Amino acid sequence: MTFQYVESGSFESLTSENHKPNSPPDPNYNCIAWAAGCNDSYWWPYPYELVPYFWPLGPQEDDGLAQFIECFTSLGFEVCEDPSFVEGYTKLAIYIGEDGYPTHMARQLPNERSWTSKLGEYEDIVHSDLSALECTLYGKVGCILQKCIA
Amino acid sequence: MQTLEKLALTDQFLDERDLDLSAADNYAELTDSPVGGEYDDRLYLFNKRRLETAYKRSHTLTRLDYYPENGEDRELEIRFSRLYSQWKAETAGISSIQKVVLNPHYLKIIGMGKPAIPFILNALAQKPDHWFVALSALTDDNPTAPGDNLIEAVSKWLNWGISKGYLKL
Repeated sequence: MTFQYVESGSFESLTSENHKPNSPPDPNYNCIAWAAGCNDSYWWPYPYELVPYFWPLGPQEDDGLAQFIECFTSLGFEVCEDPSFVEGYTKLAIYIGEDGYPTHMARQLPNERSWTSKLGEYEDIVHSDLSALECTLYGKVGCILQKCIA
Repeated sequence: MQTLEKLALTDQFLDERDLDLSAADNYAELTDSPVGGEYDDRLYLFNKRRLETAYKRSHTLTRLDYYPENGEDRELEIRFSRLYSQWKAETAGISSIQKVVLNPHYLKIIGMGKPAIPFILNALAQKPDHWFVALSALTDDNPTAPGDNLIEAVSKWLNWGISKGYLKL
């Protein structure tokens, strides 16, 4: 079986050892929504109301890292330094490109202690660590967020 | 190679075709191939065959009101196919709407003007995608409502295409 994200050749750090596909391709939600736990909407900050895209804080003049931190802070998250698993916490990672702008988000899975990511319109995957998705397309991890769920 | 303009979207054509696309049946390769001549013929035929297959598989798929068979329409269809494929190759893995709709290939599709509308709607009928900015720009219309998700927005644009005569059920 072939997977679209593999065929795309866009994720050069993924290996058969550091990830596994989790669900079929679905263009109806993206990585930001998936990080927030949603699989029925497409989240991205945009300067004006643009159906069918959603941003919890409404239209945004910019789609920079500050807008993402502000958004997820409003959802109960706080910035932290360490992506390591901590019992009772959900952690999110924001990847940023060379221009410093967010490109992708991943969510830590509490039980497996690995991460889950929706890859654009492709499949979502489970990956063992954050470096597995550091690539030309997504850049590197630029911010870690955490939220107490205990 | 048969004269493409004589090929009809019929079951008879599906059964009788004898064109050999085996050497170039990869869509990405076709859209990356040089513009003009045989490459355009192959890309055109590939698109047509794919659409026929989609129509045969689904009786509910919204259909183009006509398929460009010759002349300028056929050239537009080929140009759209190339730009669409290149746009997807560069943006399918990313989430940023700004980067998706400001991609040069997407902007070139908008630059094709109103003739691109049926091709966009046809693409949208086959696969939900980020065509909303282009459609709004090209039609100066927007049938969606605040709160619609992507599926709902696609459905409303397809219904819009039917009401305007671009598509048929």
